[in-house]
Amino acid sequence: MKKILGFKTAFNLVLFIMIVSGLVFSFGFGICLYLARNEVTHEANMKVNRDIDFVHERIDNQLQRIEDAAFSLASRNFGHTIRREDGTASVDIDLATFKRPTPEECYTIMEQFMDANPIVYGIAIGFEPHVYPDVESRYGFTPYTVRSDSSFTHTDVGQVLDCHETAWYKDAATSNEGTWSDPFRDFSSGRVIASYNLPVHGYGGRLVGVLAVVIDTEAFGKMCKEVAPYPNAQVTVADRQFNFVCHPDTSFLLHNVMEVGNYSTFKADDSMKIKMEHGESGMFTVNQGTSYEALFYFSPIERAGWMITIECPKNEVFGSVQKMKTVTTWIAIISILIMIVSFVWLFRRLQTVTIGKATIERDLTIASAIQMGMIPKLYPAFPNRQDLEVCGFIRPAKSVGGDLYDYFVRDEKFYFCIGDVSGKGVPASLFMAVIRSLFRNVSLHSDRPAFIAEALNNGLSEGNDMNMFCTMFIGVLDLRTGSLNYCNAGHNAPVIRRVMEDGSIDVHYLTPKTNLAIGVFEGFSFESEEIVLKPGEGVFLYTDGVTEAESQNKELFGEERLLDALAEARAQHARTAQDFVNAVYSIIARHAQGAEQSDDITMCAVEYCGYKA
Amino acid sequence: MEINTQIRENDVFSQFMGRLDTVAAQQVTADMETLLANADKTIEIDCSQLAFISSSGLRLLLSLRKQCMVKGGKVVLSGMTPEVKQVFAITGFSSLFEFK
Repeated sequence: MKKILGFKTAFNLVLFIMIVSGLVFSFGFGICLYLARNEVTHEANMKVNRDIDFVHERIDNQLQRIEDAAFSLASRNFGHTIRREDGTASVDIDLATFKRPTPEECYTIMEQFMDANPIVYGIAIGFEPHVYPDVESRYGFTPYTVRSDSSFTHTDVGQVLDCHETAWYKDAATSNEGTWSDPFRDFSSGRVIASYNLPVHGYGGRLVGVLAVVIDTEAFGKMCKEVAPYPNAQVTVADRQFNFVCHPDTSFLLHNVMEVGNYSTFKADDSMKIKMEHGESGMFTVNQGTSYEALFYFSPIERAGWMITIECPKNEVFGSVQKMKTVTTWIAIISILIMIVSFVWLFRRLQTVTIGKATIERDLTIASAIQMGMIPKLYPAFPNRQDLEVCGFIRPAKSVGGDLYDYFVRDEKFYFCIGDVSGKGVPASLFMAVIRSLFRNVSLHSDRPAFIAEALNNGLSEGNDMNMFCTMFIGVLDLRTGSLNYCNAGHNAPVIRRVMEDGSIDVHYLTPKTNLAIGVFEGFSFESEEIVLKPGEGVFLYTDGVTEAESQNKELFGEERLLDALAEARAQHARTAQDFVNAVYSIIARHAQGAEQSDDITMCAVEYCGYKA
Repeated sequence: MEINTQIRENDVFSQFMGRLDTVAAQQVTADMETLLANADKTIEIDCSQLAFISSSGLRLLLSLRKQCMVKGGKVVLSGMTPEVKQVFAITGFSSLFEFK
């Protein structure tokens, strides 16, 4: 059995479909993933920036409170307030009216201040030597109050340290405005602290001293812990040197962001560092080797020159996208597998069907050839006879048909028949083959059409469970006398062409007795009729495929048109039987205008020319 | 082609609608089974909506007619159009059925 669709072709086709669908799928998948990533990044930005804003506000509020409190302490106790046009402020003291607090009062003021501001870890006031010249202190009176457990410890640092030489004092004294120091570690307590240093000036800009409010940065760490955009996101505060002020891991405190993180990106890209140095906000991707990647957000706290950083691990930010990627990849793999399986199945089936169909078609072609071989179709049919001319024509609607005609001459008698088996296709063609053989056999024993019909009928009715039947017209023409005996078994009435006494031609339908189609009822008694043909007269037999040939508009060819066609053929000098058949067929074809032939078209023309022995 | 059949106690009323050609004849097998199963009754077939009948269609009616003969029922055809009636006349089937 020849394979219609080779394995290689099928394989290539499957491969092609796979590749195309794979590409289409990947493209769509890529776009989806890209959009999802964008959406997630956007969402992360919103979320993180909201948290940064929250922490920023809390810390900034706290810093502002310290600044305001320091300012108010200084102005209330050491002089008058002067707000500068640029919004900064310093305390200006009219030394002429200034009633300085006693050293004890200084400590009380500081204590009260710390009571009101729990975040304050300690306060120091470094006075210029001329302010408290009467207090005995080695480097000038420098009161310092610090928390110790639940109480306060007061010391005059001036006894041991010259604060006027320290950086915080000098910076504040020359800057004319309050500044926040970078955080540093308190040696005595080990805490990470930062101070707000506010210079206090007298009239004429003369410096009175510097007020230093020390805060414990641990409070900021608590604020940072209040937000968590992602479960393992790290929220920290760093100073302007990028050293951690607060960090969940205390061992990182005061260590450089870049060094601690060990981020290779930092080392490679300076642009972000520059942005951070300029106090801008932004985000960049950091990684530690290939195992860890994170989104690193930063935003400045302008007041202190510090910044808030939030580091979000990428696997948490893009967890949903990753999950989608995994799920989609699996779906794609499973879909492609299903596709492969179904394609293979489909191809196999298609192959089987195609092979099966091809086999049937080949068989039908052979059957058709066998069937057509049964029908006489060599013309002229009887080259040695001058008295008879005959032509048959058959065109099945399918490869095999249920129509038939047959004829032969025996003992100077011409036996002929035309038939139409019910139904179409192979069943009809088998039935037709049986009829044709029976006709030949029965005709050997009788020249009476009614007898032939009865014999055929009885032969076919017996065991005819399928109730197939065949309409037939059987005729026996005595060539010597022109006497035509015929029996119509439920077939269409033939057309007869007669020569009238005045020499004119008359074409009309014969009106035979109907009888019954062959194979319907066993034992049915058929009746014959007789007419006599004169030389030059003819009979035209056909099946309903002729009269029921449809045009494009579903209009039937009809009996009227058939009569007209025969008359027209005659008028156009059709003389031989073949002329008539060809002429009628071309007229039918003209009528059909290419419409599909729905039934077998069969014709048989018999021309009697007068006996010539 | 459509066949609507109502089975009543003593008779069956069936309406044939459309074109009963070779293809349709194969499609209405199930409907014909119903009619064949009731061949012991009088089966009236309304052919007023039957536009065309081919020899395959005639074959179906012949089967029904024969089954009725065996089981004691009969087939009555009614409301036939002239076109369909002519097919019955040509083939001699007119003699097999009762018409109304």
